[in-house]
Amino acid sequence: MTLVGRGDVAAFRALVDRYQNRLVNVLYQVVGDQSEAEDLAQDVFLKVYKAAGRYRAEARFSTWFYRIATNTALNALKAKRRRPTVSLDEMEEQGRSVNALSATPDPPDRVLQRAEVVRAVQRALHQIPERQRMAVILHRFEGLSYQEIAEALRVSIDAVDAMLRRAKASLRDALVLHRPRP
Amino acid sequence: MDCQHVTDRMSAFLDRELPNQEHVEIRRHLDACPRCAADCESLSRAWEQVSAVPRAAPRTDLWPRIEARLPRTSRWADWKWPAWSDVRVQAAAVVIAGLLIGGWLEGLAVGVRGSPSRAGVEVRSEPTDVQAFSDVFPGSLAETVLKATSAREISRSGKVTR
Repeated sequence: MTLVGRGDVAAFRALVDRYQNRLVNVLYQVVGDQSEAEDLAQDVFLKVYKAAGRYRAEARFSTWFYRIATNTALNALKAKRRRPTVSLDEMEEQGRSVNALSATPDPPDRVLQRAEVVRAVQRALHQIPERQRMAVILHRFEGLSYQEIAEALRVSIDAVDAMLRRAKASLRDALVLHRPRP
Repeated sequence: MDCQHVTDRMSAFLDRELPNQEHVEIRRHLDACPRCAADCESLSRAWEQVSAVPRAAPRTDLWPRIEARLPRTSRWADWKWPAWSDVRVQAAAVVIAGLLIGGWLEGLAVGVRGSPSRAGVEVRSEPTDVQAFSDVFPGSLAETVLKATSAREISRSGKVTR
């Protein structure tokens, strides 16, 4: 990051290579659209490049990075003044691809059942408030601790605990009808 | 530990965010309370389902698009002042200083001769530091400058003003 702060383009490229998959995934889970997630990811990286000179090594890089990503994503959602459109068809297509690549193919009814559950989870995720969703994604996909999520979202640890508690309850309520049959 | 407390802390318990002692106490409560255990089980199952959501990745490398949007840097952005220890810098400094001193001396010499009055009466200037310097050090730069400026004024007006 020190090199990026000095305008070293090669160091910045290495940073992009390292984080682009994770960032696009996080943004995709938030906004629900692949193209928009990629556009936002570019914005995030450019903000990181411009702000790199102000980055201080005492802050953990991932926390600083996800704070920029979070602000960018939430501002984009706010700007659109609508709930994010969930491209469920696209998401399901992706889910089918994952299943198709499975080494031990499941029976068709099992695949359908799983796709149904995934769809229900995605719907539930996109029905909870944006900051709650962000907390879920940072915890579940990126493995951030409550402390790190609190720093990224600029809230207290208790607030993160409350957000995740409510998110879990919402997910459970949404998934109760989609519980896989034994 | 009562059921309400366990319910409140169940989310952090599942995420292993509780202090060790509290985690153990909740675990003990769940072992003894079927209702809280069932509640915890359903919450845990729902939470695990989030991991089933497929991950996304960029369809193509983002770098070319990001690179195209990087702010253009000026060709002078990497300019650094040369070190004074560089002989070329020292030589340039001597030349510049010489030119400045020469110009300053010439300016003083012009001041020595003054300017003719409107009535055409010659005005004599008082001796200046340059004149005094050239008197003390004949053949110095100051004397050369005085001669040069005198010659130039003679060629302009045909009169010697000194």
